[in-house]
Amino acid sequence: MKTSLYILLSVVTFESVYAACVPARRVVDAPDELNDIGVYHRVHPSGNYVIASRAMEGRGENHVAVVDLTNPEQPRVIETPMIDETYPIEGRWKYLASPRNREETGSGMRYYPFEGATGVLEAGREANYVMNDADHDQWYHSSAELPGSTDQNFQFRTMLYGNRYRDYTLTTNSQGVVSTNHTETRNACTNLTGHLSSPILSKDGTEVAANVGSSTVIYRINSADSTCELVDDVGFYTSKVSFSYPNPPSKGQIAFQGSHTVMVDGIPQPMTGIFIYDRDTRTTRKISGDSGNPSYPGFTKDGRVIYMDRENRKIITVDPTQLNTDGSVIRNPRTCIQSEGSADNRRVRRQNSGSSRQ
Amino acid sequence: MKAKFLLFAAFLSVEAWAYLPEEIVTHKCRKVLEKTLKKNASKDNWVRTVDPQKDVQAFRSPTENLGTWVEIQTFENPYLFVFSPDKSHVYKFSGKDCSVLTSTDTKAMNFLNYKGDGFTDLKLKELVKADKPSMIYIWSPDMVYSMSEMSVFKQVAKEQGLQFVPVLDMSQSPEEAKKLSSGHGLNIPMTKLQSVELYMREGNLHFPTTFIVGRNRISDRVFGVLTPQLLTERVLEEVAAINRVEK
Repeated sequence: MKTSLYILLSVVTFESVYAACVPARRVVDAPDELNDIGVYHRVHPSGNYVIASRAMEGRGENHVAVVDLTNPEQPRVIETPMIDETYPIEGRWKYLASPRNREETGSGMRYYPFEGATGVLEAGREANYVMNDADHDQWYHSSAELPGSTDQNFQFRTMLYGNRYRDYTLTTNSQGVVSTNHTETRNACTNLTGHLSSPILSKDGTEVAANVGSSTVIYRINSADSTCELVDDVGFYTSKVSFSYPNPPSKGQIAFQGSHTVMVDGIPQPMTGIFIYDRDTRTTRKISGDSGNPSYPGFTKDGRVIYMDRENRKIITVDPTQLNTDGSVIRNPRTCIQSEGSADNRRVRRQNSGSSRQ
Repeated sequence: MKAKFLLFAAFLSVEAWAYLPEEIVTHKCRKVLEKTLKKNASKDNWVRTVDPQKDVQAFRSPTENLGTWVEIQTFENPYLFVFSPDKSHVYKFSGKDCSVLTSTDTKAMNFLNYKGDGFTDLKLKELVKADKPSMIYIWSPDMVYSMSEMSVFKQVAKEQGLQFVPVLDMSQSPEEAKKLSSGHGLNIPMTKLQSVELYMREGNLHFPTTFIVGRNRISDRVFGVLTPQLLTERVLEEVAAINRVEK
């Protein structure tokens, strides 16, 4: 009896630790079908999928695919009907928004389900959109599910180039979407002059990040009058950011690609890297190496960051909590550690003694 | 007399402090950094760039010489880099008195090694000096809008009497770029970015990025694509600013 209990406890303990084990860094080879690793990516909240858009030679368009990372040994490419810049409705990724599509039968921002029988994951190129908005389809769109949204009354916001935005409600029942409503187009940040360059909505649609002057700033959008309140000024210019998922009272983090100078063999060289800016402490840290032209970071819901190593065609997932401030992996034996490099990627080691960090 | 002297001393002090970014005017190496910045003709137009490490900041400024920039990184033993088209120079400071630990000429930044058709600082200087303004349009096959909307920029440039100068992302192979852009009907030379000045002005972080230049003036970055109307407004503003500069 005592032995059985011991075995049971051991199994439970092992499983608990193992289930909680998140590798500090996971490197997946991009699938061959992704002829070019892609020109931008968006990251699903689970980390199991990324949207990749890649230029197609001679076609004058970028095709959008979903890369399924559920089995990291064999990532899979799922083609979609969308082209150029598709953006998910951030939050739960119930729908993807696309202003251009392979078979254009009319212009407009089309909203495709991500899951379900007619969704992109299952139907691929045959996926059907549930809504088309011909009046609100411009460059640099960004969408997010709003607080209070439910499956039956799905509420979201789409912002376009030039600060213009609309809030939508999709009402659904078991048969699918039964009605769609939206507000009139409004201009965000009416209390500011000029327009925001490349605005990106936060995961809950209540904040917007944009480049203003030589800095990246974050505004809170007041839905009542569309004014904006400055809530963060990063202090320097970044690429388009990815917000972390809300986790109050923390203000969260943003991830971005940044350009900086690194000494390489005694020579200062320009490098790009992936960085996260902590909005509570107002500090920045690098989470990637310097090589490989790391690009397009996005947060998962549990705080990992997925980005692309474009030169080496890798899709890299990191857990920032397990990294040193220079991006190297903390050797914390209580967590699993995965070494970098393809040969060792798939081997997850579970360390079980000691606790010192090096 | 004493008051005048104090005023003069205060003036000198302000002059001296003005050479560092305001965020680091209390840096322990202030004096030696200022002296080195003066030697390298820093213009004191500081822009902060992404922190190279946690608790380390970096700042860049153009100098009086187009194509030459300085950068400070605030490590405990700070670096001061001087970037120019043909070489870089590294100063490293150390110790309590911040004496110069090393002062070394190094090879230029690696992206400047390209042997093909490049848009260099020399070419930029010619456009900047000219009376006729030019629109420098930095594009990349990575950003589809920078290809699909190029014709709009080209058209607005033509309408406003600007020379249109397309420049390719410095990280792209011209051959690949030609293939990937072929569907857009772009009949343009694949001239790759080889300019320190435009790199330092973050011309290579997002595409398209546009600069309007002329009469020794370089505009602020025009970020991304714009509608013809907004682009025309922006071009008119910049051309007016250029025309205000005396010949």
